[in-house]
Amino acid sequence: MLTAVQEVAHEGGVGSLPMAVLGLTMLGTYALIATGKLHKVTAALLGAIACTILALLFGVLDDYDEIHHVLAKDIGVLGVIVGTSILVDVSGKSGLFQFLAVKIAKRAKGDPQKLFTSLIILTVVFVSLLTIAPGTLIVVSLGLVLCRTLKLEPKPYLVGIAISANSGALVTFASGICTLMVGSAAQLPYMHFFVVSTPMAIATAMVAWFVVKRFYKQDLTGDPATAGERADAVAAFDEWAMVSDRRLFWRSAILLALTIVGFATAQPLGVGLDFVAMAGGAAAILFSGQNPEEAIKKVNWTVIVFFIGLFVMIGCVEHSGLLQKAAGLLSDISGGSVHIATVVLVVFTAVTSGIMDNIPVAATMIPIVATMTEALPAAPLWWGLTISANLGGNGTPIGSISGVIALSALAESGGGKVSWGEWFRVGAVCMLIQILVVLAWLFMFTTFDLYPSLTPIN
Amino acid sequence: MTDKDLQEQMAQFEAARITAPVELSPQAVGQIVAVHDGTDQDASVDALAAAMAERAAVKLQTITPRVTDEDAAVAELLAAAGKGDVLVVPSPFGRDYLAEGQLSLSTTIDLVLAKSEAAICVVRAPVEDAVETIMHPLVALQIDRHHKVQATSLALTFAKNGGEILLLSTVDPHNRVRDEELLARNLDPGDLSPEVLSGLATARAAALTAELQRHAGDWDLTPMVHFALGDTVELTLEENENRKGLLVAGRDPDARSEEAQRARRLVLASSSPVLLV
Repeated sequence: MLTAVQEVAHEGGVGSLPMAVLGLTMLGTYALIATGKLHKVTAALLGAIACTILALLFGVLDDYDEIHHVLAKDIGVLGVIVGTSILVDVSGKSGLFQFLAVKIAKRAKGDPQKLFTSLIILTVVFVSLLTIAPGTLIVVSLGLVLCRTLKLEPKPYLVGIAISANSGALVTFASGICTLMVGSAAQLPYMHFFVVSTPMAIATAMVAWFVVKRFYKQDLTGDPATAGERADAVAAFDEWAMVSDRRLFWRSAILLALTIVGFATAQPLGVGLDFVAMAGGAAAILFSGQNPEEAIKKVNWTVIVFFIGLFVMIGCVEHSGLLQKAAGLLSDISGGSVHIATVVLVVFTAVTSGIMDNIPVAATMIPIVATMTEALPAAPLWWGLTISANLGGNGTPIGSISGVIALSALAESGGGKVSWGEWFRVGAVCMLIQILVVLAWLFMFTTFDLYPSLTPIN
Repeated sequence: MTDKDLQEQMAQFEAARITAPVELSPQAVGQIVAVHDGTDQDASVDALAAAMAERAAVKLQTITPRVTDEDAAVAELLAAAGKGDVLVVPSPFGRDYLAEGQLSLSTTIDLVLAKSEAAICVVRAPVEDAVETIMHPLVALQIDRHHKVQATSLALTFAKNGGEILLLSTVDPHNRVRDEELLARNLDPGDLSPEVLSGLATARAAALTAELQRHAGDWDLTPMVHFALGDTVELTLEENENRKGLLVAGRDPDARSEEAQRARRLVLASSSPVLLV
């Protein structure tokens, strides 16, 4: 049966039909994810199954073993996610980050504007160290408790956290899942992030701070008459109450620092980031005395399975040649200009990342950009993809996990809802300015050839 | 990330908002009084009392009341130790624990627990390493929450300078009607999710946790805090099963009170010595 269909496919011209069918299957899957008709994991797995069957039927894949080669390419990303999840869980339990969060928030002395600034800084720092979901969760929780204590409107704070979290994901190679995916595929060295991406994290977080603060100006002013009361209320928070195990507290801090040093030195040492992350995770289990079963349960298996589905599906589509055609189209539009290609890529990625989960967008764009770099300079395109896939999430309330966490927490806590219209006026405006800043930054790097040199991908 | 994660995280921050801070310091002890009754427990009583006297740097006194005269024994025990002292007593008084005493504390000990103003360390099963035992106290905060600061202060006396102190904060969802703090919060039974209850357990220990962690370096000890949901006595025994540390808890002199009953259950079921403050 399989051979017969493959023969028919070959006779009918294997080029366009498999491409069209596989492309439509992938788009259908993305539509299911974007509309929420199916859970994203279910949709990705169904897409993967459908694409595998179609690819085998059309002879796009010579045999099933090719699927394993597709997955092998991305195994490093999965390793980093597993290792860092364990490490982050142990650090979270030690109270280290909660301790720091309260200590920093107390410095605002209950002043609404200073508190807003503190929460934005905390978000960027925590996301950069813990990745987006756990980092956002800690700051959102603190923000809600502080707002309740100080009788402040929580909306501006949570919207600010949601938007600035996507900037935090740009700080290092391992700060965000999209960053990690693109960084791994492009083999971007860890230290290069501090040159190209970290300044953008800071600049775009400042944009978020400015836009959100301006938009919610009324809600961020406290009554001067109650300033003393607010200061007392914040002073009543005791950061030491959150440290349940002092040994674990220090061990977590040391392990986290060592893991970051490990990430920075992985490439010169000739090991992958997944090795460093797994070593960090293993050390965390060993030195925390935590039950390994409990630690492993905290790994974000949803993301891992989602990835497996996506990687298989995109691998099949890539084998059909469709993504290479898309790359050719983008290159044609740019007319060979790296500036135009960067603009097209950044805008397209940012907009699509706003409409749907940014992980599938980044996963799909990686093979496209890889093809584009055969004809155009690689660095602006890879950095453009990394940054825009993260910041694109600010375009809509469902565009990024930080937005979803912050807005659902806001609604749950009775802090009100943020309508799509309201989000567009603050989040989308923010994203627009952020993208302009990023484009200017990338143009400057391209024009003056400031990018650290990349090793060509094999 | 789920709503539960958010609730749990928020509960931690809520707990950090300490409305009633406590001041904690190792409690000064007057003297340690070791009580002999000629049973198998004497060796453990001696070892524990000596270790306590050494770590608290106070005088050790040994007494041997008459085991045949209950009233006289009680009077002698009450006279031997007063407020600020620690009385280390064998239980059941006058009978070997391993041979016949596992189901009873003995009337003498019950009376002393009800009447004495001293802290009482009840010794039943044999103690392997007395110094290690008292340097690793577990303070069961909810046995009698009214005396948790005193209990922690006395535990500190023995754990400071190299020891490890574990605070156990519990909430029993099945005993809601008897939990004053739960009742005071006026929560619907439907609101009692494990996350909300864990938050309460965290809040109950927050002031002590903060004070203990802040001064851990000054006292040279390792403080740890665990939170658990369920029966306080069972959880305390479970938590101490491998640690084999000294159990420390508050003690209500009213023998009929909920707190006194819990403390009594703990002493009866524990294989480690229990210090009731």
